[in-house]
Amino acid sequence: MQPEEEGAYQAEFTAALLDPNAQAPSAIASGQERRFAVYRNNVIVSLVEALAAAYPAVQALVGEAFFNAAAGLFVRSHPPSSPLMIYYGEGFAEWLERFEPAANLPYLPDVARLERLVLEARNAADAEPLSQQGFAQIAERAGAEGLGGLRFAPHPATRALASAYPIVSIHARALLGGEGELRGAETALVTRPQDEASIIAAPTGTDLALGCFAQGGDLTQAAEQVAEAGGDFSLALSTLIQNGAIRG
Amino acid sequence: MPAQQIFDSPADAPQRAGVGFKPQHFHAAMEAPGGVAWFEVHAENYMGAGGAPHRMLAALRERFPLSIHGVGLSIGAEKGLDPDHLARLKSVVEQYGPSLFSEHLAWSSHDVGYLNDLLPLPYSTETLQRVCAHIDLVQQTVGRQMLLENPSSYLRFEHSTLRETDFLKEVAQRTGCGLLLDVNNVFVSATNLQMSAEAYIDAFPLEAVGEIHLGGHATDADDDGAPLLIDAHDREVADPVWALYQYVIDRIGPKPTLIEWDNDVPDWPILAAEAERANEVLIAAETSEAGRGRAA
Repeated sequence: MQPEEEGAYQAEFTAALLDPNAQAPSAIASGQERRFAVYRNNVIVSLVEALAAAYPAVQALVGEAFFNAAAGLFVRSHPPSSPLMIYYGEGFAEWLERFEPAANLPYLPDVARLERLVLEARNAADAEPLSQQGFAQIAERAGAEGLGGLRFAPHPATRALASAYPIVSIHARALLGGEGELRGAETALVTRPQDEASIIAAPTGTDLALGCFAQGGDLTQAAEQVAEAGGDFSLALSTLIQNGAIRG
Repeated sequence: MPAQQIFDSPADAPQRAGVGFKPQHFHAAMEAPGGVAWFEVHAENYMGAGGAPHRMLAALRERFPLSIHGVGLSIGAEKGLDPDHLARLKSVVEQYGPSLFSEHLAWSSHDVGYLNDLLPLPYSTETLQRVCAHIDLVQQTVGRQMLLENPSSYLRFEHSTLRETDFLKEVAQRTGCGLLLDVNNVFVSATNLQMSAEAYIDAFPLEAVGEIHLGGHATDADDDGAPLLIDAHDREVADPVWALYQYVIDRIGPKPTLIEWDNDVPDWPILAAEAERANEVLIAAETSEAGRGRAA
């Protein structure tokens, strides 16, 4: 069956669900505004709740009332692109960047980006991480000359984000509380060593090393990229391995 | 991808109570299932590549029969079924070998996206043809029979020409699908559309029922101040719904019965106690069947 069939009403129904000012669709018998509103409420509330579940730190930073108002606008303009609600909320960080009422919290989009990475990590494919021992064996086999040419793949659940803000500290503070001034830039490393995703503040350039590995680059290339950014490659690499961020 | 789980061919779902699985209940449910004999999960929650959801479901599947309940296929959609989503559904069913597999008489997707709610259909020859064609495709693709669930209704369409019960009867006859009778949905729809819930059950093609749902509902008011029940799944099953359930079981005998509690989810013992209440009805029905010599 195609949309041009005679009784097609779902386009009008959908538009009326997403527009709080629209009248109930013409396909339903008249005098049922409040009845139609049940569906509209179900759609909007369930999507706002899904967004709140995906972005708990953003919600904690702006408060529930502000979050619900912002989320209500987002979900109407960005309904899910698929029925996989476990991934809903893509684009929220970019949307927040353009959301004027949140402009006084310039780090908010990065908090949202970090929470998005946690969501991706949680549902990413399973794989054995490379252990420290495993890395040591590979390095020994390669020898001093071969070391720079080694290639590693990130674990499927590994994500990283370099922020101009102390993003890991802000995120932890939003969810767990704490006091004192936060400053500086932080690079977040998200891994899933067991079932739960974990976030740590990683050395500068850790995201670049991961990105280089993901592109098929070797240790020498990764080291160059990290050094260019002013980072310490051996520190970044040992952080990745200690946290199970590399695929075994 | 997670390691492919290989299971024996699915056992028939027991004619006992099951509950909708919530990750926060995992440990309690594994340690003290009580009378809970099986679990139902929403297929879409297990369409990620890996991680904790799959690990939990695999562990659950080793000990209990499962029901895979899709909520996102949009069987009533004018735009047609999403082949990618159908492929994902097939994959989840193949991976976990559920005893029961079901979806809804509703639509939830349109061109702008997925609306995360079970939206209503008018019942006409046109929508009947569409729903049957979609169910044919689902059953061919997944390679097994599906159960179709009756919706909760909040409003009337101008152009419905068939009763819901007649519509479902036709769908079951034409496609060979089974039906999932949600008794709370019947009570909610009957109240909202001012019909008799018992008359609905009397007109329902009960011979096709393979599973029953029970859940809690909230109470609101419509445009004229009349009661408007909302299928909220956020509390205990209401007493009149238990009475209607008894009415159903008296007619068809014991069937696998699910307690749905998806919002304001209680601690495990409260959910398990709801399942026990359903078990009491099921066991009494089994005993009375045996007494009449109808049991196998």
